[in-house]
Amino acid sequence: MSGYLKMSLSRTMILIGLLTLPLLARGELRIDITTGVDSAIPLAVVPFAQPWRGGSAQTGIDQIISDDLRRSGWFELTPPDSMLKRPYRSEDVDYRDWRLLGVEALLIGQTERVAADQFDVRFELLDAVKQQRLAGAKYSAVPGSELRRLAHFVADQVFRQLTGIDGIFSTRMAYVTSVNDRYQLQVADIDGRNPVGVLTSPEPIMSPSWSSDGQHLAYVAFDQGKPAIFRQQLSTGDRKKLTQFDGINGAPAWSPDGQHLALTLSKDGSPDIYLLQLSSGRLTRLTSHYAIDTEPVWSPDGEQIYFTSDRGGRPQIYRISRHGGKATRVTINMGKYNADASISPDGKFLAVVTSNGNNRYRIGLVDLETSTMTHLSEGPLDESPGFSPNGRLIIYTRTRDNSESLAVVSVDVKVRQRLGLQHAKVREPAWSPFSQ
Amino acid sequence: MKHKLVLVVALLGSSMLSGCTTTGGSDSMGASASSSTGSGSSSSYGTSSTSGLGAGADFSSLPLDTVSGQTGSKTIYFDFDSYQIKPEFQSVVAAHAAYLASHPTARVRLEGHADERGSREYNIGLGERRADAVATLFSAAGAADGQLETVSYGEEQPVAECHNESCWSQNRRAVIEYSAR
Repeated sequence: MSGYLKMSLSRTMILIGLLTLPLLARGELRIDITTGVDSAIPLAVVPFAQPWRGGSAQTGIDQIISDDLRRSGWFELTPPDSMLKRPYRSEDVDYRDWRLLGVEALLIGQTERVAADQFDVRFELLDAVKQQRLAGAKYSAVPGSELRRLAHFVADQVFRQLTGIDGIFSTRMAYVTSVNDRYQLQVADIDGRNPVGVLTSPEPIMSPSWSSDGQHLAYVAFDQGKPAIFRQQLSTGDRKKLTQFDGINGAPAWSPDGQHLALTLSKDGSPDIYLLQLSSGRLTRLTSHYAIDTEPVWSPDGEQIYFTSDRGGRPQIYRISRHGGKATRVTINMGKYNADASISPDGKFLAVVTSNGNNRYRIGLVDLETSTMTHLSEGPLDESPGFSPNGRLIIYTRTRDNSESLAVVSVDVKVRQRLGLQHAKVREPAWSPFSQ
Repeated sequence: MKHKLVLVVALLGSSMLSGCTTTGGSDSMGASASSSTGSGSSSSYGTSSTSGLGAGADFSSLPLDTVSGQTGSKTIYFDFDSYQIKPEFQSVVAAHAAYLASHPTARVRLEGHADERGSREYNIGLGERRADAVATLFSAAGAADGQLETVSYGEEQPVAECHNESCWSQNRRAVIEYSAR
């Protein structure tokens, strides 16, 4: 394929919204971007004016926005040094300056201190080709502690305007770290900043799952040497033990309506899938098989449960109505081993741990309409895939050389990122829903 | 690994104890002695003892490794994705089973483990199968259900940390932990 054709194809894909974004991190988490999209959109984020400091500054809210957008792999950012002027109002923009630099879009703005720790923030997103404003807003009296969150919020808007896809810069992730037999469940911004330990234990913590409103996590924690499923409210830290039956209490998964948890219990013999109604505590058994049935995940409409079962000899993904009935195998002719499914927000794809033997475990993307699989990672020990709430990215754990780290790959495999925590193993990432 | 260390400590402790009390045969442990051996345990089972019990404690004092050479071994290893107890471990399992059957107050906790390959929750399932495989043999040999507790840690607590078969083979295991003898 010629270079030109390849370019146009990629751009076409962007236009029809096939792709998307990123992750990130500094502070404790370190991020490396390993690849990006072929045809990045030329974008200038002009350092925001900061009148109280005099002139524009290199760091601040505009830097956070730049970092978000650059890490997405979707944009080629104009270096501030090459900018001829640094306008902060659209009426001061001379579009010829920017067309000379090949810029297609331009973000300008201002941060103004209006009280000791309060700021007014204004931004405008401009189309340098059509010479028109695409978006703009002014936020008043924002506390200093909220500026980072606001920056992610602006980045989300820019991303949406320029790609047609919802940005995920304001989302968060939960994950488990372990250092020297000390386990911690942490929640951090999706750029890796502001990590907060929400549970610390000398015993294993597993399988965090977000409630659809993003206010709670369900997870497995060993307690007095036995596994239990807990629900914890993030704002208060209050937690409640939901189940601690004999045997396995595992793999909690929140229903889309927030009313139920699907989970794995082995109290009646072998591991089976159960539904727990949270308001009443009523437990309904969904599968009943001597095989291992585990890792339930709900379809977005709440009507189907996908799960892992080795009822056919090896672990594969099956589907069953949430009302029970016959389970149907989903992963057929897609390798010897498929487990731990995560479903895309539109319900059309599953991300799974897949293997053909040979000790190579990779992340696979199953197209449910065509029943085909593509591989998203190289292995050899990848696991715990989870979709971003916009469906464009998958976060997962990769193990290599005695380290466990998080990685992100776009479903079209054009953007890859890696996150690492120094001195800790980090695993079982769970991507939050969009904030509400 | 932590559990393993604790086990070694507990075994050493009981061996020393037995040396002090050989003439007593299968009499009780002294209360002060059991509290000192128990202090090293990280589990909540048998870690503390009440000082007032005296000779009336209903523990058997016979150290495991004098019951049978086989019960000194507490770990059973498995093949990949398998929970079949291999021939070389049958005698170990049988020795523990016989001990349990003849000591109704003895209690064991069977911990099942898996290697790191594949998904974590499926490996919890695999670990449980391994613990259950041992429990089934114990029951068949006469151990009561009340003497047995199983728990699966899946791949969460490896004893060896590398990414090849030399470590994986050590991690695919069931461990027999006595919470009471």
